[in-house]
Amino acid sequence: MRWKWNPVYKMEKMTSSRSARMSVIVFGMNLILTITALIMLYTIMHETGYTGEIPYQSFIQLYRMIAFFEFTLILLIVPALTSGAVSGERERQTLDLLLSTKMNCWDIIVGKLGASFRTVLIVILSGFPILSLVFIYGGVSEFDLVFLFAYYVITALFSGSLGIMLSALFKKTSTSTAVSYVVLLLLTAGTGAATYLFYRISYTRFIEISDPSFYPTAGKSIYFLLVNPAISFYYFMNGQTGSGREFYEFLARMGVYEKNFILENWVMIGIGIQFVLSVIFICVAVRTIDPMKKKYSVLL
Amino acid sequence: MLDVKGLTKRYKNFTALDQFDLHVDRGELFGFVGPNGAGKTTTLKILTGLLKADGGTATLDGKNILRDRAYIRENVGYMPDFSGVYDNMKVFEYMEFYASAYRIEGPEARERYYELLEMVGLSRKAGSFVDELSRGMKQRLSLARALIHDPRLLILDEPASGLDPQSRYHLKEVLKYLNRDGKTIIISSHILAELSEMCTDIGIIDSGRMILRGSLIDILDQVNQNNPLEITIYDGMEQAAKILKEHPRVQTVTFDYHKIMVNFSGSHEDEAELLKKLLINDVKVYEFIRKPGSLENLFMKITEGKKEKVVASNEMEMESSL
Repeated sequence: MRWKWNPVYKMEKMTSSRSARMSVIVFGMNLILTITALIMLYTIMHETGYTGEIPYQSFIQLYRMIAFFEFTLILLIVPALTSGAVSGERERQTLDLLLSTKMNCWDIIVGKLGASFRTVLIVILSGFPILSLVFIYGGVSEFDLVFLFAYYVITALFSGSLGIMLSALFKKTSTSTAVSYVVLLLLTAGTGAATYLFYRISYTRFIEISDPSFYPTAGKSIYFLLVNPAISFYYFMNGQTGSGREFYEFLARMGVYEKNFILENWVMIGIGIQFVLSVIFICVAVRTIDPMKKKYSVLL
Repeated sequence: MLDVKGLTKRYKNFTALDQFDLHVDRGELFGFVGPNGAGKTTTLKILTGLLKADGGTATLDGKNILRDRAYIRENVGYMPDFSGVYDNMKVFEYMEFYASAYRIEGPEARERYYELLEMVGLSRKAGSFVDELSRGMKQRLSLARALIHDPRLLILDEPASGLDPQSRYHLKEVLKYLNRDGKTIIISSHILAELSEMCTDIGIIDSGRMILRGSLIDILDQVNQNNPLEITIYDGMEQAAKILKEHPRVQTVTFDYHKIMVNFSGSHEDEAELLKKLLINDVKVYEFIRKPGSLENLFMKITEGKKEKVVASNEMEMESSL
């Protein structure tokens, strides 16, 4: 007989609702988004006052900016919520008690992930009224908001599962939190830097050999960016609010790339990779806490 | 009920358990004693499915518990030496959570955990937050939690650690009650005096091996047999010395003013005969006692490496070397 509700999820839901943490996160996030939106709205209205024209494009810009902000905040908040999931149980010395019950390792990890997800969903949904400012003048449909929500969910799943895996691998919450942010930094800024480095190496060679038929290019290293959630989000937003050319213009800075299946379906492939990595992270977390499986090691 | 043979556990260069054997019958209140680092917690964690053994077998009612963790979860309740609690959670919610973790929900769970809270003396604290409880109360709550699914075997790792005397007494009474009610209990502890007050059987582990196991009565009786006779003489010391030196059961004799310490290997009957002989030969015996043994002395002797040949009963054996 399975549970009606996962016991760990139920327990986390109850204890988190009694602490101020979730309220502070929701308030803080919406405060940042609101201030951003108000500043932008003020700028738009001020400009309208001077020019007499309603800058419809500015509302699209407002939507893009808030969406990016919310995306960034999700990437920053989720590791903080999940990187103590297992290590916190270890530090509290409650992990052994959970493992000695009829719950298996999957139940524990899924319960933890579900509880973190619940918090993140509340945070995401609470920011949507601010995003809906775009409907004042339109330019974005309701379906676009639904897809944006879905993208946020995938991002939250990706960074959440990463946090939980690192929480299972590391004994201390402080260590797993720090490593979570380092890994995210590597996936975002790190992949971008690596791609740019390959481009620069190629460019240096271009200067040396002075061959007009040789163009500097980052080459196949451009595909490192498929694991970069920020790049995929950039492409996604351009698809919603831009002409769709902005991504190719960005790629053009890294060399000459002809359209291919991967570039045409960048967002779907990026989401697919994030999803597969999420599943791998969760499997690693489950295996790590299972006392009967050979451990990767519980580090530091 | 529980049968462990050749259990082995290695950590890199260190062997925590080395061909460890243990047998616990149904209904026993088994005391598990050993110095720090002997392998007690490792053994208990393997038996509760929280650690993987590197070798050996362990069966509970015939089922191999090293493979069948589901059976352990169903039938074993575990109370670690220290278990944390969750913030922002009340006592009854804590019990409800663990009841749910054991797939006991609804009215059945409520009835069960209120009964257990009553048993451990925490029913009035049901509405309090768990992180506000004292150390002793948390230990009692942990015991109630370990019993939530009505296990047949209860494994307690240092349950009285950090408790005040009153809490220890209360815990002891609860454990005795549970044992009378049919639960088989394994307790690991350093507090030997308490173990000797409530356990039916004990086992002493050292360096990953079981070096002594048997019923407490037999063990203490055997310990007593190994202790010297103390004979205090009022008059007739020379006569007493002659009789003792010629007695075949007397191994060593030490004189200290009016007191004679005699290592005597005879039975109670032989002791009575010796006393009679002394009295017949006009030795004025003031006191004739066998110094009572204690679990502490036995434990210290065994674990410090001072081993001596002990006559084994059918149920108990002790390896030794002079």
